[in-house]
Amino acid sequence: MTTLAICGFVIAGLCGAWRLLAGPSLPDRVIALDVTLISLMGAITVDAARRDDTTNLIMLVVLSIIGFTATVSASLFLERGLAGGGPSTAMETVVAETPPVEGAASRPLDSDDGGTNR
Amino acid sequence: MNSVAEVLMVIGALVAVVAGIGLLRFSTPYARFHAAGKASPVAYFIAAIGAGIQLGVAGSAYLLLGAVAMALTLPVGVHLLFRSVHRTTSSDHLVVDELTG
Repeated sequence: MTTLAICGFVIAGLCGAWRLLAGPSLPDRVIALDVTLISLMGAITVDAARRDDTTNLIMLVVLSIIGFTATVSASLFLERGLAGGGPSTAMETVVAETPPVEGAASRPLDSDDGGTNR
Repeated sequence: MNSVAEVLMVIGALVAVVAGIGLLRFSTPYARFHAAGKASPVAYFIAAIGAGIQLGVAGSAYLLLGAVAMALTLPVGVHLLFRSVHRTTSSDHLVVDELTG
């Protein structure tokens, strides 16, 4: 049973890794990294219960905070890098006054092309 | 091993598989974020409850710490990703758009 649970988390992590490699846009890759990390956390949890060993469980907190830091920094980078050009303290006005970047706007939102435009 | 703990961990793994399938199969970034940002923490919470039944108080403290850290941070990160997608792509197809002030 625990083997089945670990296999499920591994399959979820592989789905996340596939989206991480193939995802059409950069935010897709970031959220795929999050899903991969959470699947790793679940696998660590099930493994600890299987071996009755709590040594590895402190890694859960570390992985969670690393994932949060990665997501926040990547999304702030996305907003600044694609919206205005250069770091800006008044991001709201920059975003409101600048038309969207050509590549970002011309690409349809639902173009799931399997990652050929990497 | 406790059978309740095993069943809970398998249920959590199944929810994680559902999250992965949603991440792979949905067509727009918003739908993918919904699948990834809601189903995967629920999967972890269910598996952590199962493992906590098995591991006792000392292990449950770590698991609870990880679950609290995830519950506090993951919605914030996913919301920031949503906002970055909303600001960098066209949002003409949205029916309700509360971010465009």
